[in-house]
Amino acid sequence: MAEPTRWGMVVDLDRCTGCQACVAACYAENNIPINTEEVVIQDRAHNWIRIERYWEGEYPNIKARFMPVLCQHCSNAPCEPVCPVYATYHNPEGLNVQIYNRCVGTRYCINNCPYHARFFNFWETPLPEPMTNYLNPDVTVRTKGITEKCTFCVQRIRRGTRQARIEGREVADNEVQPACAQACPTNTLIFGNLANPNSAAAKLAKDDRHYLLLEELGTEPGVIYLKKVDPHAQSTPQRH
Amino acid sequence: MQDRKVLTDEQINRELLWFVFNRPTRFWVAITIAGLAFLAGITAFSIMVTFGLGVTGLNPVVAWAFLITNFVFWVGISHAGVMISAILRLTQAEWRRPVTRAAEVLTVFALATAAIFPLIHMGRPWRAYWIFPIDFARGVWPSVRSPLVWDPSAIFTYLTGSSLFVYVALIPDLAIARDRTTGFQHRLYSILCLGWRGTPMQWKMQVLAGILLSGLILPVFVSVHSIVSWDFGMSLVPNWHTTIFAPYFVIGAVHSGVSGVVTLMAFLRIFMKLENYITPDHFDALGRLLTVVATAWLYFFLLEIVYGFLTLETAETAVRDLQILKYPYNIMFILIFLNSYFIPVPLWLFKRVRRNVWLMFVTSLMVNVGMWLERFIIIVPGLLYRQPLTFVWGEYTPSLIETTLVLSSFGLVTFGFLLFSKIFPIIPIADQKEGQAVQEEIQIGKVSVPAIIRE
Amino acid sequence: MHNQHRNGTNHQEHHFHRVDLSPGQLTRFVLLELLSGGSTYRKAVTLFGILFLAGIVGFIMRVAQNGFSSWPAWGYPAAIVAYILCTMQAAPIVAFALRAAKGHWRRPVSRIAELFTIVGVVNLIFLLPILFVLPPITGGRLTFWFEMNWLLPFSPPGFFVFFAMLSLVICGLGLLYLVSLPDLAAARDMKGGVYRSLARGWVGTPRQWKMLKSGANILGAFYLMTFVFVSTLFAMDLSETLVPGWKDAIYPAFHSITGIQGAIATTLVAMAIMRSFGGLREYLHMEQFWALSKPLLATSLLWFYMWWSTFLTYWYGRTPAEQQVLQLLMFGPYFVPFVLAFTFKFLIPLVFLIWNRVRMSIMGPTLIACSILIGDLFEFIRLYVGPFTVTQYGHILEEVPQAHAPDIADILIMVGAISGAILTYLITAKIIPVLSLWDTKEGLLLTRVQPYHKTEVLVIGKPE
Repeated sequence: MAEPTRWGMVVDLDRCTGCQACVAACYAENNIPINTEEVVIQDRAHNWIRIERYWEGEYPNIKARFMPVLCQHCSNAPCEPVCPVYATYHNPEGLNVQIYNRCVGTRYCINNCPYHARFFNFWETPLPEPMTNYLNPDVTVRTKGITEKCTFCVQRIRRGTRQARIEGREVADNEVQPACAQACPTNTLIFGNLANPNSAAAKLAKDDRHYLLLEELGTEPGVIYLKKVDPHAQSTPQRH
Repeated sequence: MQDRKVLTDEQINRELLWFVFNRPTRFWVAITIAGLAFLAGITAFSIMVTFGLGVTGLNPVVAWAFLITNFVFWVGISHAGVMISAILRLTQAEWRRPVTRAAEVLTVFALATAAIFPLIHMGRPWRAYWIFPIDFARGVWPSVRSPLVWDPSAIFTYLTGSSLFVYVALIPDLAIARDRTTGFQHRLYSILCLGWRGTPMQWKMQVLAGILLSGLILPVFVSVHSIVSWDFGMSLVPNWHTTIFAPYFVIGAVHSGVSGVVTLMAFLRIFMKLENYITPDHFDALGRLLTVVATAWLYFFLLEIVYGFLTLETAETAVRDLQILKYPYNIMFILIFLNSYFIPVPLWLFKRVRRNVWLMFVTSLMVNVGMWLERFIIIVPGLLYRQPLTFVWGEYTPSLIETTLVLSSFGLVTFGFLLFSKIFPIIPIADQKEGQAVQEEIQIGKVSVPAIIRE
Repeated sequence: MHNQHRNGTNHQEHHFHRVDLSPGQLTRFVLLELLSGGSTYRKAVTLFGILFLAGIVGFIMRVAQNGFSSWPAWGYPAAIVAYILCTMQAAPIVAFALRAAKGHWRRPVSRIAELFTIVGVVNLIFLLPILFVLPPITGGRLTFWFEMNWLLPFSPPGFFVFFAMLSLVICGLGLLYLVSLPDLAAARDMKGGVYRSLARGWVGTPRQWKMLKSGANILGAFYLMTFVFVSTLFAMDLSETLVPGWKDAIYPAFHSITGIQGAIATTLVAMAIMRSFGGLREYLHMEQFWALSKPLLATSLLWFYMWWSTFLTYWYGRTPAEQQVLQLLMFGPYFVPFVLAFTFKFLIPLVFLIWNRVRMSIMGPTLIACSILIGDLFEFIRLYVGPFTVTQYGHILEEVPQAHAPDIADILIMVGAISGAILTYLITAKIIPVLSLWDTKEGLLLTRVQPYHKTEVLVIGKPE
């Protein structure tokens, strides 16, 4: 690939309805183990992307604010230097990559991620037959003892770039989409090459409403959020 | 120096080797209990490996809890050996003599136990060797930038250094044991004592080796717990990411370790009937050392809390609020203050308390209970309320497996220690004899003042 | 007067020297010779007196130019107050530590270190203008304290820093008085004069001696703890809280360790001066310098350890606020003082003090101590001048201010302050002798040289 690539995502909070279609799509695409009731009670649900919901205001003026949070693929990722075995590293395309078969499960990266974007396989969760039919063959099924997280659907990125190389062209904008962006009904999640100034994601990232999550930590995330504009909001929101 | 005793060489040899050559019932009872505790730990670990870490109370919010607390705790206890042996040897304090080997052995077993915990609590412990620079043609070395690679380097350096330290000091005593045994035991001691004859040249080399090891192990002693503390300090968790952790953990380790030595000495005196060698003088001196160390620890503890609040950052304030004001951490916080400082130290200011073996035993145990809780309260609340993304704030409840593993670690250390003291004399015989040789008395007027010979 | 070691052996050197004086000769030496000033003494007093007056001139220049409202101009005076605190004012800690550790070689060293408490009196005065100058906490500056404007013209934290320093000075004066009381009584009995009012009531009963010894230990312990407290407040309120985004929990401990390293260095240099010019050649031997060189190396290593702790945590964390602090204090405008401080306070002591031959000499530890004292000056310049030039508030240091070089007033103030401190010490040394008479006599009583096989050994009584 000749052109510089920095995969990133823009999350437009003005559009998010909290429908969780992205969460469901991510599950299906990435062979995530089923979050049974027991697992959720144990606080161990795998949510590579989650919709955070904050209540604002007092009755009867309560508003629910939704914020999709996923791995931010930070340029200055705090999870990367702490892995003792290089199971997580930053690849030249700007992705924070998790190598499942290298991970020994020390969970330092989980502790160090300020966005709580990483998850650990506490149990071995084989799917009962015939549900194994829905597994995505492009994605590894992880065993117990391994950390995992959002990969920006790297399998789709690879498929797209391979196809483009076969056809002798660059990857078109919007050709490659992670499952969450594809499933979102309101175009909240815009994925693209932030290093390409003509991509939709790069243009949106410069919007007036843009901000970074936990910016004071200096992690330089690859996910840019656009603020929600609510003309009826209270001046000082109180979150619960 | 009020309890000076004059002992003959033969008496010292006989009494200090008694436990090695005889088989009292109480030894078998103690080692069986310790062994069973250890076995319980192995069972718990097997369950963990078979079913996954889901059997613990860990979750993606609190990924490190009981087991890592225990790891830090035992590394802390392991600092006793160097503190007592190396530093007291270099400052030529006379009262160290009976204490050194027990402290060093405690170090070795505590450290070995500590090293087990990060290994068993990995997701895939059978791949743990990837953290070491052993490349089986895979072409990928460990990441030197990770504190988890500094950890094993430091711990294994310390383990090697301490083991050497114990061994070098043990050689003359092994020779005495060799000369008093026959058969298999004789062969074992002969091999281990490397042909020691007690010539002046051998003594000179042995003393020199001891001094060199003492000097070399001091930087290791400071760096080991600093590196363990940097497991936390290098992260971005609010109350972990603070510059004070290195000396704070080290001073906490010394506090914990020296208290551990006091517990151990009381145990040895009572269990092995060593009243001639472990006297109230030693507890007095240890108590004074502990008062100083505890006060330094309190300074660092308070400093850490003050800085938690100083910059009034939202994230850290929330963590501190949990740590200090919310159940169950508030109770632990109070217990730490009371157990690790405000009950023992005012007691230790009084000579009568310091010279009372039972009181020293109890207060030293209190200190270690407080120190275990202190490590827990540093590690877990920060993870629970990690950042202002309050939606994902979590909870942690320890499971039976983790509690079993923690308790079994005490069993493992006790087991190792008892085994060692059955095979090797736990109080250095040669050192005791040297102590007798430098004892002197001088007359000042009508008074006979105890004195020490200095070169 | 002095007993050289007899040629009993050919292998070892004896590391002990025994003073072969009768108590009467010792008393006359201490009370008559040490308390009278020769020509060297008069020259020294004149020199430091002139430099101190120059310092006062510099201070007046500073006030005239900048007044008390703009604190960036007062960075260098603040640095020098901290310097005197962490070198000279800290020296009595050495005396306390040695007394608590009961090293038999400490006896000639104690008084030299303890006399430094008097420097606290002048340092307290030097501190006052700095407290007036500090920016207020209304306005966004962080502090641990609360507002108390009605009580004193300067608000917290200056208020608490002042009282902490005052406690240190009072504790120090109490300590000095207590440990020199028997000597003052001896002077009263021999010379009379001012000593009659200074040494009231001391007779030398066993009960009084017991009170003296335990009092010296207790006051010494309090001095150490108060010093650490003052050092903490200096670090927090005069340095760290001036820089937004600087959250360094180890900094007070780092400041205290710098003080303890400086204390040992100051004691060593004072010992060397007393040995050459103060008449204590027969009392201060290689043994004392050798013994103090080890804690000197240890504290230098500890200083590096604490610095490294800060640096590693900030460098690894990569948060913007911390990177700015690293720029301000270490790698930006104050890079040169940082490198100099690092070299003089750590590299030089490490490289030289690991060699036994350097440690087992008199010049070796003394030169390294001088190196540390020079390094300390640069250290406090980078730790105080930089923060003083910051005029922003907030959560992060947005812009790193440029380096602030000293002007003539600053230099005069720095030279004058140090000279004033030394001057105070010199004047006090002629009222309270630099060799502790009672301590040395006790040492004579408790030491013997005895033959042991084919050599001689020193036997030291340990009555406790």
